[in-house]
Amino acid sequence: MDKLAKPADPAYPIVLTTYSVTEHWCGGGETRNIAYLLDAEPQLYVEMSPELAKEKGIKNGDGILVESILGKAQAIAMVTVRLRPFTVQGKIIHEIGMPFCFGWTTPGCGDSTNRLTASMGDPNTTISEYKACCVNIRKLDKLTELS
Amino acid sequence: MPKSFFIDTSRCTACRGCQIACKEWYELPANKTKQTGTHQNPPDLNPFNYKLVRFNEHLEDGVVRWNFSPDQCRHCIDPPCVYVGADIMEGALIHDEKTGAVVYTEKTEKISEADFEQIRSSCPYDIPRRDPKTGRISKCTMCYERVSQGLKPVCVAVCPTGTMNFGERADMLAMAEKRLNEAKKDYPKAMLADAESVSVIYLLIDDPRYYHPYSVAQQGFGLDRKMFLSRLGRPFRKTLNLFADV
Repeated sequence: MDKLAKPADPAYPIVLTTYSVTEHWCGGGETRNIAYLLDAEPQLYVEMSPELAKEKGIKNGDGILVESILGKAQAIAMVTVRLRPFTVQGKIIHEIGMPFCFGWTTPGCGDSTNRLTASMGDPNTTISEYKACCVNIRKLDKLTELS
Repeated sequence: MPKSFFIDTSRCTACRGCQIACKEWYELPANKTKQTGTHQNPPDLNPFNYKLVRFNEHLEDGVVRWNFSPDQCRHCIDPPCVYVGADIMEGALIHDEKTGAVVYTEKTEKISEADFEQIRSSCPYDIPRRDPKTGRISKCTMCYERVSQGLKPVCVAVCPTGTMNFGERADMLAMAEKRLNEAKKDYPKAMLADAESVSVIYLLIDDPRYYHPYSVAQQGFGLDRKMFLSRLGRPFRKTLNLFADV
């Protein structure tokens, strides 16, 4: 659980950030049982820029695998202009975004994004750092966690 | 006095409260959906979704334009579906002159699939949907029962942003004009979609093609509107699709 990737580890070059959606409350443990809400946001997805998708040979709606040093999660690619590559110290750094409202208690919706996020936090407030970590992505031909 | 909606898309945050509330009020069955690479879900209107928030995005000079529009029946002032429907089955598709509501009754269950296609293609906004199991044709009802009890349509009642408005037509037109003038300061392309011919007036703040293909009625060729919309039937849909991407 306390494994951490080295700074600028080339195996995990992409920055992952996580967020919530209007349709599900927090981890979604309650709202995923409400069929109408699951209708509107049914499965785990990854928002990424068209530039990153092109680099990785991923099309909108493709199944992908997201890996961090801690774990893996399958999701659907959502290619969108809302995500833009950053230029950091002359290098292009890609950012991707995932919601954290899905999990194994709802079969077929994808697993928890917290399988990827780092297990660390602020020692004073004990608030954990689930907003950002470093990952890599690749296209998957077959999805087992989403159906 | 006829009623109208005013839908101010400049205020919409795509929370989809209207879409979900509509399903709850009418106790419509859930759809089993999948993530397909968009937040728009279910992907299209269907017999169990009278209301759908549509998403559209593009880059304009490096700025992200993300447009939301809660799509629903426009309750046309001269509803072409009702003209077409009258030839197919009397009393199945009704235009209530008092409120302006276009309502589909249970009689629509007896309408054949081919006749339904004619009704659907007469709609300038591609709204009617048919349940293949029961044959029932459905769409937004303007919450006819709620309105007759003095309530607002459920989508308007739940909207937290002021996007969805409902009231006397004259009031809604005045509100639409006021908001249009305000919106034009920030969005020069702002417009009211077909305000004079529908009871559901949309304020759009971008080119209509950056909402969805049916955000405004596609009409023209100098034909009388009523004739053009109601009598062309199937070829009309094809004409629409031709122009959808222009």
